[in-house]
Amino acid sequence: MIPALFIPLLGGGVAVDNRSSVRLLISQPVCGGLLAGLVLGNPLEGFLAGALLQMIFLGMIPVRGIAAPDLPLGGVVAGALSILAQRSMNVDPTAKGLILFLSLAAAIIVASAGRAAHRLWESRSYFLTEGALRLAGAGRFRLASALHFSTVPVHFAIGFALTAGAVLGGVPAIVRIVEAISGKWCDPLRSLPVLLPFIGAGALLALNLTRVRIVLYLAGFCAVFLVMFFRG
Amino acid sequence: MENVRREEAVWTEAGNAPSGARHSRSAVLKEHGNAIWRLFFIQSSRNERTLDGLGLFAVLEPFLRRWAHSRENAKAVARAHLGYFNAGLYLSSMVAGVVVNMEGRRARGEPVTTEGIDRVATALSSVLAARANYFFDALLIPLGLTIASISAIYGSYIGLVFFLVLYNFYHFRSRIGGYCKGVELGEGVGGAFVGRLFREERLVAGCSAFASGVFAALLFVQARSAGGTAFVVWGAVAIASALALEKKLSRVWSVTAILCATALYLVVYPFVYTKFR
Repeated sequence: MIPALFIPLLGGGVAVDNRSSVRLLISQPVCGGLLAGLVLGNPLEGFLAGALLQMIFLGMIPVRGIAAPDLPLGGVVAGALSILAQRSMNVDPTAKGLILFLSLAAAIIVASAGRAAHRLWESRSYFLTEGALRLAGAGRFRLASALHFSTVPVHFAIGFALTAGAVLGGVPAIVRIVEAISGKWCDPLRSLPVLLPFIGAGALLALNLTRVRIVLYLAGFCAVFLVMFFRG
Repeated sequence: MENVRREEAVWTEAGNAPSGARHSRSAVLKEHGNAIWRLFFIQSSRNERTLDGLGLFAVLEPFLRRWAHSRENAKAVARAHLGYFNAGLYLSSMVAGVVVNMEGRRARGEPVTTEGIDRVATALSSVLAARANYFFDALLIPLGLTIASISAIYGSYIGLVFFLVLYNFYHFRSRIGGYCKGVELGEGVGGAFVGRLFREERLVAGCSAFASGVFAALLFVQARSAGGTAFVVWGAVAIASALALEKKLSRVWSVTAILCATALYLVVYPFVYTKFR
């Protein structure tokens, strides 16, 4: 259980990378899932859950004025929940798909909550600039600058709180739901990783719907089948 | 030799004290280093009214006392840079470099006005933000993530490593290199220089389109081997739904809708198939 305590710290870390504009992109879901898996001792499981969330949201471009969901938090939560929920119960192999489905749903909720929290912060944080103006007027430049950096712990705290809440509340909730409703009927859900990435493929196709790029898109599409044909 | 001289010009142009006294190179480097690490937090205090104004101020803060002739002058310079600032993420560092260059020249007595600096910063901000956002958000990141996803389909981390290396190469080049260019060229970064930015844009766009096609084809191949024609058909339906919902719903809602529909399909299909077989 001790490694699970590090998951909120990881959530805070990816929130800083994403929202404080460090932006090394180690916070992308595919990376966050892997890091969560490493912390919990099951890197491949975490990586696959994070990668699945990443593939679902492939091709999403942040448009001005429209805040993007906090996918970095979602990646960590998806990876952590799918590992911890499977660990917390004697997993019936048929329930694995259901656990993955619920983990992804929780990840999307956390990503949306992260966006909402961040928008709320952005709409209220002008007081810092006002404070900095007052301090600059008094010649206290270093303190005015420190006000800017005081926001980094805020981003960390938002990421930490949301991830901690998701792990503390999400794992028991998923376990209860799975215990209550799982059965043979949910076995086909194991195929979710095969079908869900098509959502991202659709968004990528939308990105490439221009005259030149669609030709290259089709070339890439056909190239795979050509290779498979010649390989027999 | 010429390079060395040019390099020296870069670092001394902005950092000189108004008195004209020369500082050691290490002191100047230290001063710019102080600005460069701050650039990586420039959007930390983003708010709806002034966006990254406070972030720009935090980047310029180490220079304020050098630029000002008096305490009152320093306060005026500080207030001038605490207004609205929005240059996106990747090339805001270049705009910050330009501001450092121009303020440095103004401090040395050259005919540069606060309004002039503001005008140049505003004009550059929109142009640079548009170019950088398109290159990173619409081309480079989708390309890298598509490659990472292709390798993830086979459970491999190689694509992820490739993505991080590719992205961060351009990322650091834009943020640190952009700042140095801004300091070196001042308002000269406008015009032809902006046109030459990200020259590999078309190549990256082409690779991105090709990789997207490969990704889609591999998904169909995987679906065929996992569930036969039924999965291939559902994959095509999911792609069509994502395309159709793109303009109608937000991404989160369209993803949620298709996620639930796919789960329902997977659960219901075997029953229907067995019954009608």
